[in-house]
Amino acid sequence: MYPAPWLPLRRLSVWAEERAPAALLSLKVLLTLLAVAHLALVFLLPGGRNTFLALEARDRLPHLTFWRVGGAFGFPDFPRKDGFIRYAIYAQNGSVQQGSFPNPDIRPDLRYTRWAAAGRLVSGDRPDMHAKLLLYLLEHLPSPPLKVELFAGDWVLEAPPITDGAAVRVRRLGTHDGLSQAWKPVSRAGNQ
Amino acid sequence: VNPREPVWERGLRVWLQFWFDLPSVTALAFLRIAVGVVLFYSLFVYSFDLSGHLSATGWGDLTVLRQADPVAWPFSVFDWIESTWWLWIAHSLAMLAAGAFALGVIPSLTGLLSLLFYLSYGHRNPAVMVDLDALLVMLLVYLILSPCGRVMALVPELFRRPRRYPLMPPEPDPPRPPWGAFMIRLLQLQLCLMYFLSGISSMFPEWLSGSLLIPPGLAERGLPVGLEGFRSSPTGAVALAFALTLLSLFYGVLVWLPRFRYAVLGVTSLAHFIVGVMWGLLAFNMLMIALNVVFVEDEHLEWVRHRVGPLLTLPWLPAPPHA
Repeated sequence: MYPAPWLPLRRLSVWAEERAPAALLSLKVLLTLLAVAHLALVFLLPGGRNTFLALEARDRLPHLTFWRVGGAFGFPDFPRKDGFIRYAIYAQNGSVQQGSFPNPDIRPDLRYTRWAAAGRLVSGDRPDMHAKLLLYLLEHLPSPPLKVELFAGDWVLEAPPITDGAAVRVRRLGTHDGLSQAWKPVSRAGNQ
Repeated sequence: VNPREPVWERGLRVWLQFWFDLPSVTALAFLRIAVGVVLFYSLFVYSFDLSGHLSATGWGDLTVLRQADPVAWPFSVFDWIESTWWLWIAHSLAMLAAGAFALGVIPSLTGLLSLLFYLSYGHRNPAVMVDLDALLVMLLVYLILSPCGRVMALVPELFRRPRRYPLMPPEPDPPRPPWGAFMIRLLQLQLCLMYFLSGISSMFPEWLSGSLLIPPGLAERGLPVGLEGFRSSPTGAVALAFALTLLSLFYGVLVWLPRFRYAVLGVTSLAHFIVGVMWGLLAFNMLMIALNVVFVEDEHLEWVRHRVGPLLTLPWLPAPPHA
């Protein structure tokens, strides 16, 4: 029994059956054209940015199927310098604990790579991040320190690096006074 | 070939054959396992610094960090989480999803879950995103949309009648849907684009002189392994930089020629292995080697699967009923 006699089901099914192969073919062709368009976009805007054609997308994080131009062999984007943070913690018993962020002794390598990316960002001219990093350091100390000093360092390539290695430039970012619990950043003018 | 076939029809046929007539699901299965294992490893490595990188009491102000690398829709499941305890629960779920994806347990669902979780890590703290993350996200997207769980998957093999051991070659051969071929073509073309873009971006004097093979600060960690060899012979560094650039530039041409295909795949895999071991970039380069599998002929992958599969059976299970 027909649930809806006004529907020309037989004619519709014949119509659909006749057109199904053509519809499938059209879908396939459309899919391949979309794929070509997608790959063209990947080529023009890898990772949202094309340094050669000076194009840039709003969304800069390499997303979904976009690939950042860099080393397909995993080398980072050829940095000339690599930033990191050094700290000196003056404890109440008179000892001085020095360390760097990221810690080069961290293993495995992938873990260090993530910390190195963080260190690169924090060692820049970001006073807000320096203050937050100081809080993080203080939270992980067993006892309140007398003083904490933060420095930003850069490994800088100086030619020829393969034979001579890299030089280090360090600048002071600020000091945390344990008594007043205050963080005094170094002003940018006197930061060298 | 029908000589009376119109040119446009022949062109259309060849075009569609290129995209849809590559009967392989084995390459996708191999790639799924590799992506799942590396994803699991990457999440495992996150475990050491979970609260440091992702919690509100971490080393960075998460609001400021997000502004450093804005995205259109910065969703993150970790935004719903306040306590460290829940952070660990979500992280454990992410690892569970990655493990299930590697084993082939409903890969379209577990892959989608893994993708959402993995993007959540990147969106929560984009400052610790590395190239490996971009590659993993890209491969997850492709694999979710592909039939990557047809073979070498745990659940379909267990539920098969008669029951068979996990990872044993199924009988008869599983269906090979045309969208699997489409995904393999997309992966092949994207891989060629990646190498080519990498090649042209490294064509500048500093890289070709071998200077940038040692990123600043890397020597602090004792990397690359064999650094002293480079120092005593800078020519070796120049040769390696040139070789990597040339390989990247011409990979996309030579790999399509059957005569050169396996030579190119072999050299590329060797280069990835050397770079991965010497520079401490093993996870990324292992994934790239796995990605090169999409260019291996299906019959060769089948040969490997039918020989390796039985070795991976679980010996403590009772014998299969049909044995």
